[in-house]
Amino acid sequence: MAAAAAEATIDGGGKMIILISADGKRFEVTEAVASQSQLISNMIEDDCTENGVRLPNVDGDILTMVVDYCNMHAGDAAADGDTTKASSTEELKKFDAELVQALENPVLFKLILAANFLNIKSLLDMTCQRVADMMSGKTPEQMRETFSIENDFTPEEEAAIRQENAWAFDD
Amino acid sequence: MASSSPPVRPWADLQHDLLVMIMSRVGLPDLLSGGATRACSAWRASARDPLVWRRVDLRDWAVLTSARRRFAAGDGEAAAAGRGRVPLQAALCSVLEIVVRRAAGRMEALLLPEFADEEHLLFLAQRNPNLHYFSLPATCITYDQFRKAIDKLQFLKGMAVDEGLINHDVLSHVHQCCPDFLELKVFALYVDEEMASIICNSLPRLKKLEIPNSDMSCAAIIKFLDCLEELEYLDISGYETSAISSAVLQKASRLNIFIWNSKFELGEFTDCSNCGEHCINPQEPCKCVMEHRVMDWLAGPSQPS
Repeated sequence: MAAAAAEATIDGGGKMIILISADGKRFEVTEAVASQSQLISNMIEDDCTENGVRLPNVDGDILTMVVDYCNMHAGDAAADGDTTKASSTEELKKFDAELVQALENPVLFKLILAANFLNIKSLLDMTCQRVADMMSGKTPEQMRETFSIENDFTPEEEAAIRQENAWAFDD
Repeated sequence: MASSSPPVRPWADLQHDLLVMIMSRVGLPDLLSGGATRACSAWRASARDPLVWRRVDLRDWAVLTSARRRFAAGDGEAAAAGRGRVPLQAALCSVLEIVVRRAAGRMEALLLPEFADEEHLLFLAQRNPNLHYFSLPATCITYDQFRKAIDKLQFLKGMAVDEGLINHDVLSHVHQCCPDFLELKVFALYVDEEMASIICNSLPRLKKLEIPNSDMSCAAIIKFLDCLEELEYLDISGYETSAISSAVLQKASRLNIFIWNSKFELGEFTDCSNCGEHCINPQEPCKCVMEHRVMDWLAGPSQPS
């Protein structure tokens, strides 16, 4: 059914294209929705979305989130289109805030990679900001714990870091 | 969410450019003293990438130093905190030294705290002549040192300064030294026609002018709108002014963005996504959007309703 719809045109939404995740899940979206991804937008321009777009490094569960995000944001990308479908700014803000708040490792990690690969700038900005916010106020130890990072410094490097970090301040 | 719990991809393995993108969003207090930069070597390398230090915001010095103290205490190392009392000016110098070294000449914007003076600006200008923008809110600046700093900053595009620097010689010097200069922000309590003339005469190419929280006469606003022919952006918000007459609105209709306050109301403050300014009521569109509507209305029936 998905393949048959590949050429279908839906009322006002333009051509449909099929996105296929690494684990074979298929997502049917309008070109307007999909072209928020610069990668797919380029593919649409080059006319190579006929048989669906395979995304071998994006899992189905991550692609679900990406498609949800793009569906929500299709309105502001195509500002001219019909206003009934375009979400209001407040709705979008709320949606984004809820989405980003719910993100934890390792989904956040995968979503960053997907946003980067698909080249969706607003989603990449948002997810990177989320990581930056998670870093705020944490000591190196807390940081390693939160992000499951190993301390790979040599004792010499540790000493050097301590030294350079000792900038003076007023008290 | 992790029912099958796939192997967690280590954050340390995130590619460098993505880590840089993340580090650029980490606040300066954390970049200077926080754990992100000391968690592992990949993170440390990305936090030291000059791209992360393109915009350095030192305006909130209290936050910077309290983060410093907190992390120093958390380290259990008296070494960092134990350097003892250092005068504010010298402390700022040592921070500037660090950020200049990190930026490796690629710093584009520097926002200084209130107590920073022209010496700090000169220090930075000598080491990072590529600077595009700086904010120097201090009130008593000696013209000579300031001009020396400006001499170095030939790529300067904009600055934010106190009204004390609104002087014909100083601004003309900026105009001559910095061919790309087009953005000015002034911290002023009151702007009269004379100050407006000085700005218009010495910086005729301005495209963006911000004078927030200032009492401004109608004549001054008209002066800006009449004399700055290339002006596209004017922000005179933050002060309840009655000077926004219909004549002002007519003249301002050629601008792309015109931000002003007609009045303040009680309410919560949030940042507006459009103009970045505080917005009175989060349920309502920010005033800058409302004002755009007024502008659109003034500009005539260009928009389909």
